[in-house]
Amino acid sequence: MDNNKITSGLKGLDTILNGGYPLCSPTLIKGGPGTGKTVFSLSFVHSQLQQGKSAVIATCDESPERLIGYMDAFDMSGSKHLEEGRLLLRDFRPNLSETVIGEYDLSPILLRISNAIETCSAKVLVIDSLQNLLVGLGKQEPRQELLELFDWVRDRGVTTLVTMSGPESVGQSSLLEEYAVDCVIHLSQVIEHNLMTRYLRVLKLRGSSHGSNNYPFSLTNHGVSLLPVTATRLDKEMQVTRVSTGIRRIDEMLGGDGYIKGASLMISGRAGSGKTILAATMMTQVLQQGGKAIYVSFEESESELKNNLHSVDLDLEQHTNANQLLIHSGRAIEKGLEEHLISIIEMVDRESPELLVLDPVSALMDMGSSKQVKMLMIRFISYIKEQGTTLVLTELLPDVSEDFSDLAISSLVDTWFRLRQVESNGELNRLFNVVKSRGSRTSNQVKEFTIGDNGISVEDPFIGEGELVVGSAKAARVEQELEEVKRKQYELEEVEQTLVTLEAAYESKQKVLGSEFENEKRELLRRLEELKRQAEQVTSKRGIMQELRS
Amino acid sequence: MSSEKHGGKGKYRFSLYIDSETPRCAYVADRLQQLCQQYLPGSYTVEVIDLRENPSVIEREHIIAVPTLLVITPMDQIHRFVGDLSQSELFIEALGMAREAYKMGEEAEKLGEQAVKMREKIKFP
Repeated sequence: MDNNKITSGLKGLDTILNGGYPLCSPTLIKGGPGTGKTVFSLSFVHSQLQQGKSAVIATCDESPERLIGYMDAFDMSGSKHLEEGRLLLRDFRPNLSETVIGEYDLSPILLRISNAIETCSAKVLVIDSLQNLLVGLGKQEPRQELLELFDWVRDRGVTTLVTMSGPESVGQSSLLEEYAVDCVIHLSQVIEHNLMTRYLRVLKLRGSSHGSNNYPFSLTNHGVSLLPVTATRLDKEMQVTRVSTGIRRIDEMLGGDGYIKGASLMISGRAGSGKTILAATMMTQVLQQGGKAIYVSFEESESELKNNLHSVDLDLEQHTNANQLLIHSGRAIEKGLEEHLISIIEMVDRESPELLVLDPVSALMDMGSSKQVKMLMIRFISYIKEQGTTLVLTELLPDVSEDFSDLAISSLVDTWFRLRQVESNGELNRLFNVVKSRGSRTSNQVKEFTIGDNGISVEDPFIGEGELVVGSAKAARVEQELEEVKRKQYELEEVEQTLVTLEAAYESKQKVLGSEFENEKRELLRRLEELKRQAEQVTSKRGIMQELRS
Repeated sequence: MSSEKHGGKGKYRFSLYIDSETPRCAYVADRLQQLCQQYLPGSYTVEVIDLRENPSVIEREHIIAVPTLLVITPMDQIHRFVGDLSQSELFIEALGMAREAYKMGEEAEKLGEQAVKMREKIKFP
């Protein structure tokens, strides 16, 4: 934001213009009929009036009464400001019955505008639209002397917004653009796939940097809405509050406490895989904690959604009644992708919910070239993230996709769940796994996912012998396993028994051997004694004989 | 500057709006007088209004260029001209048409009166 700017009254445009329109300078808004030039001017006037300033509108296309009517319809309290005298309208509509009979001078225009500006000491002037100012005089293009007007407003320090439309001849309009004004904004309408999208582009902004892309915008009953560009920044601070998904086992798979608050999550799966129910379960969890949520459905109407979810014990009615939950449903083909995203952003800005569900986001993704769609989704996802709102997207995978995501946005989401259906033994079973989850210790396991009357439950599948089995096959395998275990148990007992016997046999053998050994030992000792005694006897006999000889 | 006081019916009433600070407006009043005397002798009034002195008039009349000339014909038709009368032929042409129309109107009125008289004559007893 720099000091030489004045807010345009439109958040997104201020960002693109790096603060707003150039202060005390003329700005030109050009574009064909119906591109929204008048609404841009009125938004600017309104924001200035809100700040207590005065403004003058020179209207060349519509009657002052109608302009006031527009302002009132857009909730800009035009008639109130008119009564207060801070808003002056001057009727410059051309008089088509005038006959030109010679040279003329346009000094009355300046005279009238300066009178009006002095009357209410306005700092803001809007001329809507310049090319119609001189239509009555047979001129399609503003005359060069009108450029004096721009010098005059510059001298007076009046910020001026001039609109221009219609066929542009190169000479005059480029003179106006290149010389007279400091900022040129171009509005256009593009029709793709039979859907109309409005775009805004800044052609020039003297002495300042500005965004240079084609920015989509939409005219809503709140005025102009631009898809903001702030969102493309990556300087977002990381939040580390964790929120439960409402399913304990999934929380465990995400590291224990659920997903990170404000993250963007995507649930991919084919038709009937349970995406909506999973998303709604997560939403209900937030609602039960007292949080607000918005559910945008591109497939089901509000009552269908409520009924369908009621069958799995998810009651949305109580939350919509408590103004906690806003369900918005509409067909994707109703409007262009940009308009969809803008209207969703509007809702988010208005309600600031904790959680936003888009079901399915893939409905929006078919609406344009994939690159364009990805660009928009990047902006959208990061904008939602910036608001601290948790974004839950569901992705409907085509049946032929073999469960691979074909959305280019999977890299943009923080947490990605995948629901698969496997057919075996004449059953269709649901599998669930976490493909990725930033900032969490995620489980790499594939779990079995079942939907019952009480909602979702997630169970461990049967894992053994290198394969994974679910459903009735899983039950059979569990039975089989039990048998196996029983048999082994039996075998084990047998072996144990043998061991005991063996030990006993060993012991008894040892006893026998011990006693034999003892006997032999005793015998040998006895003989030893005997031999000793005999030897003594011999010795003593020899002594007697020697005595006898001597 | 105004000459020949506002006449009543049957006259062309001119209001000439000028900006006294603009050189282009300086001689327009004289030129208008000349043309009127030449083409509408005796049946016109001219009023010259300086916008600098009467700023409120600009808004009322939605004037965006000077000189602007407003004419109210005897038939109460309003013509509006912009310019310094340098292309006076356009002005004369427009006025000529207005005079023609005025004459035709007068004739129609006479015929109308005759018709009424005739109708009275052929009233059934």
